[in-house]
Amino acid sequence: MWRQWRDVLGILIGGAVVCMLLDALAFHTRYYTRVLDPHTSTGSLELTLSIEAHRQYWAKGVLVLGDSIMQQGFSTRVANYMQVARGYQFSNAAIPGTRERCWYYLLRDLDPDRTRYSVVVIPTESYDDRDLHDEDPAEQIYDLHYLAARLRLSDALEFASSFRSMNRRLEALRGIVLKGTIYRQDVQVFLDHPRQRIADVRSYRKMADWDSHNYDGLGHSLSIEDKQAMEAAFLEPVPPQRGYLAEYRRRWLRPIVERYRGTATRILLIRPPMNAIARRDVPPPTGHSIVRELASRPGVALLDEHAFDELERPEYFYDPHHLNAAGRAQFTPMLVRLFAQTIGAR
Amino acid sequence: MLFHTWRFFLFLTIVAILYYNLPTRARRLLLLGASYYFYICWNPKFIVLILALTAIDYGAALVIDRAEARCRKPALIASLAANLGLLGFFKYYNFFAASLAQLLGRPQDSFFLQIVLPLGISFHTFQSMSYVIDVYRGQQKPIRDPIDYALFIAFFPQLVAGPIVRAREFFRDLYNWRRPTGQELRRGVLLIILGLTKKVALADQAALISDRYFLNPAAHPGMLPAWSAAASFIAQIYFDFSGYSDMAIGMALLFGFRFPENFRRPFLSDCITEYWQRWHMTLSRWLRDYVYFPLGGRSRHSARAYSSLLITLLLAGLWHGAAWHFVFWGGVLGLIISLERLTGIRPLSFRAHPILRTLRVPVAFAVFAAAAVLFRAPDLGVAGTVYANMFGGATGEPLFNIWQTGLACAALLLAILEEWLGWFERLVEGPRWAPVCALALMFITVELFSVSDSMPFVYFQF
Repeated sequence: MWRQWRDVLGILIGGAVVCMLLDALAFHTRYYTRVLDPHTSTGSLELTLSIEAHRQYWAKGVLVLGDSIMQQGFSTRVANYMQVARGYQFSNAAIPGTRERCWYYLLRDLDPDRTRYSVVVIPTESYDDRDLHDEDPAEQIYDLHYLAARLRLSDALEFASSFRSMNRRLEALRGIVLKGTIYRQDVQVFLDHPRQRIADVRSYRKMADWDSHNYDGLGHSLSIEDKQAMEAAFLEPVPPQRGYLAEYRRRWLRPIVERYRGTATRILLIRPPMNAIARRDVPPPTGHSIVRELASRPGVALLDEHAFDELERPEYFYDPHHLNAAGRAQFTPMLVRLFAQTIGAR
Repeated sequence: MLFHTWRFFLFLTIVAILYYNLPTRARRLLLLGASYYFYICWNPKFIVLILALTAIDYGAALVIDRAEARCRKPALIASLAANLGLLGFFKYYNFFAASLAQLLGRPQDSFFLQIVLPLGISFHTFQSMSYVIDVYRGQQKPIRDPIDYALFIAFFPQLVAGPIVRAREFFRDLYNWRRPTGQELRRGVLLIILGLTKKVALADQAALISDRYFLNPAAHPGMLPAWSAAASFIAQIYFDFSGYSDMAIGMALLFGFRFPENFRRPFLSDCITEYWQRWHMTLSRWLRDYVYFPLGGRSRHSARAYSSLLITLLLAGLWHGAAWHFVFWGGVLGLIISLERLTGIRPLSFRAHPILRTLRVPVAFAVFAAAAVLFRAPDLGVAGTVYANMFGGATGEPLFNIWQTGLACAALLLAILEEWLGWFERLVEGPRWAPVCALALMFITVELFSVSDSMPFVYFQF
C-alpha cells in the first residue's frame, strides 16, 4: 500500500516541482517585471527602483525615502535648484504605501555596496514609540506585493517571519516561492492586450522620471468635509498601546541604520508634516524612542521633531495627510535648509 | 471549511493518514467522526438536525423491514414526512410565505422567518429518502449498524453537494471494502486537483462575468453582452458543480469508495434531452427513479408520461431554489424535452451523423444557455430584460476577455478530446511523467487564473 501512496505522492510532488520551475522561469528571472503595470504596487516599486538605479549623480547623492507623504511633499527639482545644500544632489524614491520594511529591501538592491549615497533621508511619523494607529504595521501584507520582484528565496524566512499572524506568514511564504500568485491580476490584465501593455509600459518608463521631476503638487486645499472628519478623528481615543510600532522599528528601521554603520553614508531621520490640522491634545509620550536611540549613533542625525509643525495647516494640504502645491513649495526648501545645517555641520 | 481551502486539505490529509493506519471498524468511526466535525465546522447547531434525520430514517427502515405489511406504509410515510417536512421548512418556508403574502396583497415579508439553510440538506435528505424507499420496495436490505448508516448520510466528501449516492452503491463499497489500487489513487488525486482547477480558475472567472451582467442587465444593452453573460453563467455552474463533484468523487476514491459520475461533458450534447442525461446525473437518476417512473413516465408517449415529465422537471427546478424563476426554468426545460420527444429529436451518435450532430451542438447550447437566464436572473422581471437584450436590439460587445475566451476554448477542446480519446484515463494509466505534467499545468492554471477572493461553491446553497 505504501508503494502505491508513494507513487501518488511522487506524482503530486513532481507536479508541484514542475509548477514551481515554470513559475521561477517566468517570474523569478525578472523578465516579467519589465512588462509590469507601473500603476500596480509591484510595478510602482520596480519603476522607482529602475529609474533610481539608472540615475547619474553629479554630486553627493541624497536619497529621500518615504511614502505618499514624501512623494507629494518633496520636490527634487526645487531641492537641487536651490543650491542651498551645495555639493549634494537630491533624489526622491518615495513610493506611496510603503514603509520601512519595503525601504530595507529597496536599499539592499539599490545600493548593494553601501557606497552609492552620501545621505539617506528617512521620514518617520513620530519620534516616540507610541502606537499611533490600530493597525499593526507588521501585518501589512501589501509589502509582499510591493516587494514581489525583490524578494529572493533566501529572504523567505526573514520576510515571512516578520508578519505576526500565521495566515500572513504563510501568504508571504507562498508569495515568495510562487510569485505568480502575486502577479496573478497583472498577468490577467496583461493577457488581455499584451502589445498595448508593452507599448504603454515603455512610454510610461520614458516619461515617469521627467513627469515626477516636473510635478508641482496638487493645487486645491483641504475640503471642509475632510477638515471635519479629521477633527472628529482626533476626538477618538488613542489606540491601545501594544508596542507594535516599537517592535516594527526595531525590526526594520534599525537594520537600515545598521546597514550603513561604518560606511560614509549618513542617515537623516525626519518627521515631515503629517496632518493638515495639528493635533492640540497630543497623547503623552511613552518615553521610549527607537528613533532617538538610533540618532545617538555615529553617522545618524535627527531633525527637530517639530521642525515642520508650522506647515500642518489646512491651506498646505489637499487631503488630511498630503501636502498640496503650496505645502510642497514650503516644505522642500525648509527641509533642504535644515539638511544643510544638520549634515553640513557635521 | 470549504473544499478549496488549505484547511480542508490539511483536514483531508490527516483523515487519510489516520484512515489507513486504523483497523476496519475504527476506520468507519473515524470517517463518521471526521464527517460530523466537517459538518460542525459549518454550523454546530444543525448537527442535531442531521442526527435526528439519521435516527428517523434508520429506525423507519428497520420498522419497514420487520413490521407487518399494514405498518410498513405508515413508517415510510413518517420517514418521508420528516425529510420533506424539514426540507420544506428550511428551504421553502419563506418562498411559500412570500407567495401567500403576495396573494393576500400584503408585504412580501409579512410571514417571513429568519431561517438559515442547513448545509447539504437538499442532498442528504434525498439520499436518505432513496434508502427508505428502496427498503420499502425490497430493493435494499436495511442497515443494522447505526454507525454504517450514519456514515452513509454524513460521509464528508459528498455531504454538502452530492453526488447523490444510492445506498446500494455506498454499502457495496463499505461492506466489500478493498484498498484502492495505485491507478485509483492516481485517479483520485488527479480528480481532486482537476476539480479544484475547475472551481477556482474557471468557475470563479466565469462568475465575475455573469455576476457583473446580471447585477444590472440594463447597463449592458445588446445581444452579445446578454449571450456572453448567459454562456458565462452556464460555464460557471458547470465548472463549479462538476469541479465539486470531481473533488468529491476523487476524495471518496482515496478512501476506497467508488462514486458514480455526475457530469459527462454536457456541453457536447446535441439536444436538451441529452443535456438532462449528462448534467447532474445522480439527481436526474434520483428524479427518474423516485418521481418520474412512479408518476407514470415508463409509458413513453402517453399523456401521463408527458405530464410526469413536466412535473418532474418542475420539481427539479424547485429543488434548485425556492423561487418562481427556478420553477419556470424547470418548466421550460420540461416543455423543450417534451417537444423533442414529440418531434422525435434524440441524441445522435457522432459516428453515424457527424455533421448533423456537430451542427446541433451549438444550437442545443444556445437553447440551454437561454433557459439558464431564468435560473440566474434574480426574478422574472430581470429575466425579461435579459431576453429582450438577447433577441433584439443592438449587437453590443461581448463581456469576455481574450484570455478568458482562450481558457474557455481550451476547456472545450479538452472536453472534445476526452469524448473522443478518453485522455483522462490514459493519463491515469500512462507513464508517471504524464500525470506530473498534467498536475503542473493544473497548478499553474490555479496560480495564475484563480480569482483573488474565491467564492463558495454555488451548489452549497441548494
